[in-house]
Amino acid sequence: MQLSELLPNLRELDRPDKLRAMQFLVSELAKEEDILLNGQSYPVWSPYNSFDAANILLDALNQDSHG
Amino acid sequence: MADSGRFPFIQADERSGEAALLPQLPITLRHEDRSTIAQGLLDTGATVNVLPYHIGAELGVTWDAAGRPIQLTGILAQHEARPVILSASIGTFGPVRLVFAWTRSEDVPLLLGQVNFFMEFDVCFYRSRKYFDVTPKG
Repeated sequence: MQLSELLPNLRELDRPDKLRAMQFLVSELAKEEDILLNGQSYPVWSPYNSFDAANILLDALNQDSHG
Repeated sequence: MADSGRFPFIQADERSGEAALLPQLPITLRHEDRSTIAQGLLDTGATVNVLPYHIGAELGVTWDAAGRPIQLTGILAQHEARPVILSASIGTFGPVRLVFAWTRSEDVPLLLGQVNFFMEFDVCFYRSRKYFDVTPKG
């Protein structure tokens, strides 16, 4: 489909749907370009303050040393 | 004082320019007779080293033979993890034993964290110069 075919239909939309269409396009562009957007969430992998896990790992290492 | 190795920050995303430079370290991991080369992300905020599931599987580690389950925090809390000890070699340094939280997650990068990567190696970051130095503990 060409943009010229789409534009008349977009013009027919009411204001809320025009805004939704705009948000949709911004979201699609963001996915394609992998950019960061306000209001979106992104994974942070770092296990901060995993002290219990860290102690278990150190115990495993020490036991392996003496095993 | 032990010799140090110098490594460049690696461009994680070519479209993002200097913002995407990350301290990624080439590391050879071994388990019994298998080995693999991976890029480990130096993560000073990570309490533990984290091994993505596919690397452990590639090294022939079996999930049931790994240690008792451990609970990680953050986004990794939703995935089961177990302790795994691997031999790790960096540059020309001798091998060291690194203990990892081996997670069921496939998406996570290989993370080198406080326990025990930063207990084995001293690291000095020169981010403005786009490199970092790694020195085995004395």
